[in-house]
Amino acid sequence: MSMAHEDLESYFKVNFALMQHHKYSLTELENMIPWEREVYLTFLKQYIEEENLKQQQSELNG
Amino acid sequence: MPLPKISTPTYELELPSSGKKIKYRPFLVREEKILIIAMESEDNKQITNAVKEVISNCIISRGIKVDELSTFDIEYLFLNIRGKSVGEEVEVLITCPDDGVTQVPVAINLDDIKVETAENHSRDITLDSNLILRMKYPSMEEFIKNNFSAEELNLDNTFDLISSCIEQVYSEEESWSASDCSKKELREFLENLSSKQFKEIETFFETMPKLTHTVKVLNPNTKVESDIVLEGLNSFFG
Repeated sequence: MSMAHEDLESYFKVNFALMQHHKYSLTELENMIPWEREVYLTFLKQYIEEENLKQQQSELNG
Repeated sequence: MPLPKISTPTYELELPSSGKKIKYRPFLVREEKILIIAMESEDNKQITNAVKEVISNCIISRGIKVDELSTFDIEYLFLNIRGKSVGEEVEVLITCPDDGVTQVPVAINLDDIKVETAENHSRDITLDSNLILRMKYPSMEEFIKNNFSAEELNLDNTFDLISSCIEQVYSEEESWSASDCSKKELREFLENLSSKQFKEIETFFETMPKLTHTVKVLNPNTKVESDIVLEGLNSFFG
């Protein structure tokens, strides 16, 4: 059954990462619509990838 | 100080059984957690109760009792709520019927799934030249009781389910409401039906409205294309 879109393990892992590393509160996260949380997650991943790329480039240049 | 109100978008749909318009909102992450926990329990009763709880929370219109809604109304409602909460597109793995082995992923848009009623379906069953039996659809409560209880489905349960779905018996002059009859009376009434009349009741249940969607699958190994009819909530989330 996949009436929800993730399993319990990934649910807790994602919430923990968002709270621990990105200052979200559990209440904020739990009051989001699931696709809304997914959107923030996608943007965060994109942001982290861009930051990593910038860091790699500055290391190469520097 | 009053608690803050959580703002969520609202949507409207028509209940397939009555055509009544109801307002609903998507479920939230905390409500999805209830569903995930229930699903991981692999206990059908817990899953059904979780679905019911989430639906009750998401219905905004007043006066809708989830327990009294028919099973297909609940399934349709849940399908729509799920679509607006997680996304309208789901991917299901379909086993190709031509070889019965190859599984093909098929994307389904939940908005395309409708509740369909068989053409010959009627809630009125003609018992004889005078009497008509009017049925009502099984509610979620009856569905759980008869499908997920620890007891095995036996003749008693079947009779209980059928008698709970009798709305009334009427003729041109009189009518008898099932709510005025005892369980024993309804049971005796059913036991006195002929096999032909009982077959008509069976047809009522078989042709009851259900979630239906037809998809085309192409078996990549045999190149055979087949039409698959998906029915019921489990088909779309199985």
